[in-house]
Amino acid sequence: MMASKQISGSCLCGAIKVQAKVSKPALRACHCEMCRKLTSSMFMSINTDQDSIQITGNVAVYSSSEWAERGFCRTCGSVIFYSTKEDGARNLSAGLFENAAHAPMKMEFFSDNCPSAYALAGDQEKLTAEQTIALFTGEGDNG
Amino acid sequence: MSATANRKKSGMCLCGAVKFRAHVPDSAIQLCHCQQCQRWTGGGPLSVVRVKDVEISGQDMIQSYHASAHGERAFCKVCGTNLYWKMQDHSITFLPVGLFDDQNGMDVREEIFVDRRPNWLPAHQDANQQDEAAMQAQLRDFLEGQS
Repeated sequence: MMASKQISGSCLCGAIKVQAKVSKPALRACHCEMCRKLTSSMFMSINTDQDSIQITGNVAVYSSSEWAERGFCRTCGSVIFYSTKEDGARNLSAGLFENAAHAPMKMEFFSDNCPSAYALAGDQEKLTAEQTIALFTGEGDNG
Repeated sequence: MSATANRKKSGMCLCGAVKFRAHVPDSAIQLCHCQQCQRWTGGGPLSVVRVKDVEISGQDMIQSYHASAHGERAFCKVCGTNLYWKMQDHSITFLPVGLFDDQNGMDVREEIFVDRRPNWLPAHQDANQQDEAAMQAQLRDFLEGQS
């Protein structure tokens, strides 16, 4: 069993503090149109143990679709998390942690929506829009 | 100049509370890899394009934050979209690429704070590369020019 590591971070102004445990360190980039609108380029999240996440401070939550919400700092506008409504799972922004907590890049979502300006290096797994939606809904050819 | 080149491009935040129109004279994207931008955007670079003559609607939905003595970061109060970074008391000269309805032809021409670029983002070899020291020098020159 892999040992878990405690990580802590904050938004740009420091009003929001986050803590979590990381058992399987991984960064994920999302290139969907909503993430690109919100962040200017791509949304980077870090995989953390769901039951370990602690967030203090006044996070504003915006319901961006029927299935998801986005948390941001009311003071500085830092992107804090992407969460899914059905299970309450929160994907914390990697940028809240110094050097993205040194987690390795593991996955790209909506890879076919990625503009050439942000093509990433590395051999991480890339899921197309169709594959990404199938992964999260359990529908489509990929089960 | 043709009518097409003269036409303003439009865009908006994720929820649509803030809308804007702006001239995009050269479609030049600048990627900023500084740590402040990484904290702000969630970890990716702040990707912006050079703009002129910006018109904004939904001004009362915009919240500003001063992360430094010179810079101003603005975001939408409703959805949290990163709207712009600009020098305080100056007009907007860059807007995030993600806001635009039409991003065709926009291309990376400059990367700044490249010593903070993460290893999973390859450098754009043809783009101008500026490290933190160069950016600090540029800021000093700019501020001296103001006084």
